[in-house]
Amino acid sequence: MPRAPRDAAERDGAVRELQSRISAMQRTRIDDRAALPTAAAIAPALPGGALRAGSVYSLPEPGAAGTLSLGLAMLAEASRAGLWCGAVGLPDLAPEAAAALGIDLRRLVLVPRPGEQWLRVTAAVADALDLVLVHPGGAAASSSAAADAALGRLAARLRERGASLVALGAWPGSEAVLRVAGARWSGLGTGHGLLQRRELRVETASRGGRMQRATIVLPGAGATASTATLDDLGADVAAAAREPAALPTAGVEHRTAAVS
Amino acid sequence: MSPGPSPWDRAPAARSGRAPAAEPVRTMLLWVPDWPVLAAVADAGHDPAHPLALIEKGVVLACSPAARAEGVRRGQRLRDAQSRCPALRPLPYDPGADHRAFEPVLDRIEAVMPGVQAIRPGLCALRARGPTRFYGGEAAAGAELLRAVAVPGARLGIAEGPYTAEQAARAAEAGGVLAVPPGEGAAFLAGLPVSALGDEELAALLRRLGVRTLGGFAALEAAAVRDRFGEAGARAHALAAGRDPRAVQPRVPPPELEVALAFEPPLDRVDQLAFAARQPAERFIAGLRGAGLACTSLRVVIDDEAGGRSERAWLHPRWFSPGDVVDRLRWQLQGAMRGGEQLGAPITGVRLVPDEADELGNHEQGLWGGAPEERVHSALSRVQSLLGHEAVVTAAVGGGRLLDERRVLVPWGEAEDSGIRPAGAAPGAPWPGSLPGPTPATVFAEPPPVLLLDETGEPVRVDERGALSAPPSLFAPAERRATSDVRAWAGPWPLQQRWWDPARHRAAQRLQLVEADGTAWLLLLEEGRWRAEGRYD
Repeated sequence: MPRAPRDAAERDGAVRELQSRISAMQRTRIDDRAALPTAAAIAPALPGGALRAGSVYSLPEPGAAGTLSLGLAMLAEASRAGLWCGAVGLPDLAPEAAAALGIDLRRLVLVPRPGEQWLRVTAAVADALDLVLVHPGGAAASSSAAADAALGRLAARLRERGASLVALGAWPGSEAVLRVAGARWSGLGTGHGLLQRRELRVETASRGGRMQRATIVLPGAGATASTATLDDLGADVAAAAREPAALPTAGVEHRTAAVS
Repeated sequence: MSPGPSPWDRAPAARSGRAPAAEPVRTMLLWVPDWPVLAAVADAGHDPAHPLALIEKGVVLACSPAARAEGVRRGQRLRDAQSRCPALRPLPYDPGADHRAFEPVLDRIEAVMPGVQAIRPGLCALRARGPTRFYGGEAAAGAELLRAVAVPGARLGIAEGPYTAEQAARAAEAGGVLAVPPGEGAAFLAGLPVSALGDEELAALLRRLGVRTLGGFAALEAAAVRDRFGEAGARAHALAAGRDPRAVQPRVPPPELEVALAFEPPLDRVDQLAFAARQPAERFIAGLRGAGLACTSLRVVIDDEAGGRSERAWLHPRWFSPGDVVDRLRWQLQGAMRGGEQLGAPITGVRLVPDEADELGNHEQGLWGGAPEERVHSALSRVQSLLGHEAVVTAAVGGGRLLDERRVLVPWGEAEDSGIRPAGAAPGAPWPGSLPGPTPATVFAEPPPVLLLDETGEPVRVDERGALSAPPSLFAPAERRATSDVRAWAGPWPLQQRWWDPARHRAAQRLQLVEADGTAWLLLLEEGRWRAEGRYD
């Protein structure tokens, strides 16, 4: 059904105003939960503009353009602030790239090959570290009742401890699903030049179904961001956002419990 | 006036204001010839019949009898020694191993006679009086001592003062006792050459003065010797006259801190061993704690039935708890057995040795619990006990041109500079040919092969002059069948590694490219094959 653009803009404005009034009335909002230090460059790509302590962010598998760098950039500011970071299941991670993005290697712990026990290892590591990059490596996809229960326990433990996971791969119940929609390098021509910096267009589907788009420049500071409503974006991203949220999670209950 | 040294002889000491030299003490002195060689043989399992030499600073420090028969001497330069004995096997001298090997000998002596003074490895002294009375005579005491020591070739000298006793031991037969009767020390020494003083400069001077024996030197007037040769000369003069002023200073036996376990019958399963080691590990840590020490470096020695030995030093960032000790033992066993639950041969013994211990007070926990690092450490130790020691690592940036060389992984809990990084591979040093700009986030430990084609579908090559055969146009990693367009590229950049070393020489060409979806790659062309060194993902 065709609709006048003016009406659409009005409706968006109304929705936003209502949302802001609702959030103003809630005493405990997700923004009140401790936010982990987040680099300004990454902030536009995250719901609420910061990494939340105790939640899981889901990124695509490493290998897709810019994914691993985005994951490392998400750890960088926290590491610079003195928190401990970890990387589980990434045997080919280059420490030099991590250091270049601002991660303090003295407080970076790697478990390159956790094998079958990756979930136990992740749980043990997340017990002590503040921000963990984890690559489930296809094992998370094979969901069974036992695995779901273990993931649920891990999620509860994360919330209790205030540690966050950045999962490279699908993760049920993640706070937000980030996707690199496009990457553009500068500095390299055809037969000349050198890779210098890249622009990543990141699309974020938060649990509530809100979509965000941001352009992140790595390495380096400065990012532009735009927020859009759900129907502006492609159906695939929207589906990706809805799917994990449909799984049973304790996160929502936790928030409502905190209100009362 | 009592017999023995006359007051006149003591006068110089009295004049110089020192306490008068005490009567020389009857001393038993044990000497093991070539001890450093014996220790090295025992430590590293060399063949004692082979000509061996221990080398320190390019000079022979000690050599085996076989090498001595070929003309190798102490103090020779290695080159000279090798020219005399081409089959000579030079070994680096390890003073630590030397002392470590002598320690059990001292313990065995202390088991039968108290009050040992270790002079240096291979040489130790005791006061003769007590053992002589206990065993009923010097000969009996000496025989008992040699029996207790049980080192082939050990010799014992008994005389007044350690110096005379040492000369007696050197004169004794291998495995024999030479007792110089009381009061005859000076007469015994009189026949020895002046070089026996152990001071080559003084001996040369005395020889030029026509004094060739200790007897001749001792006959000189003490005051004149002091005037001519000074304090050191006066001391040597007293030694030559059999009046060694030194007394035996027995060592205080150190508390027994290491723990040895013997398994009879031998154990062959890791879990059995870990279980058996739990209580001894607790005893080990409790013993250290009782001595006010915290162990920061632990040496675990594992012996198996087939005579194999696994020895490894483990460091700890803080200090070892009993659980940590058992973990280290298990990791070492797991490393030694290479897969499977069975060890190469059943384990007969385990020794836990505190390599480094520190005052417990320096490691006291804070009143309100430890730092957050402590929590991190305990969690990571748990992961290590789950997956093995090397599974949890910290990373550092090393030196090198290839990206994989620049990645240094250190197991959690080990010092970063524990010899893992090759010498000279400093990250800050200039590395011509290393890659500027952002580094790939993924660096492949084993670079996967990739396909790089030109417009016509031919593989891209680099000729001898370093030029590409054609601009690359299609690219595909091996695991992905479909090729994608190359959007941008640059290179090739030549990379030469260690051209002077044929074994480690590497010649490669590097190329950067961006494929259609925006993923950038760093490729390496080596021996005509393109591989992906890193991926900018």
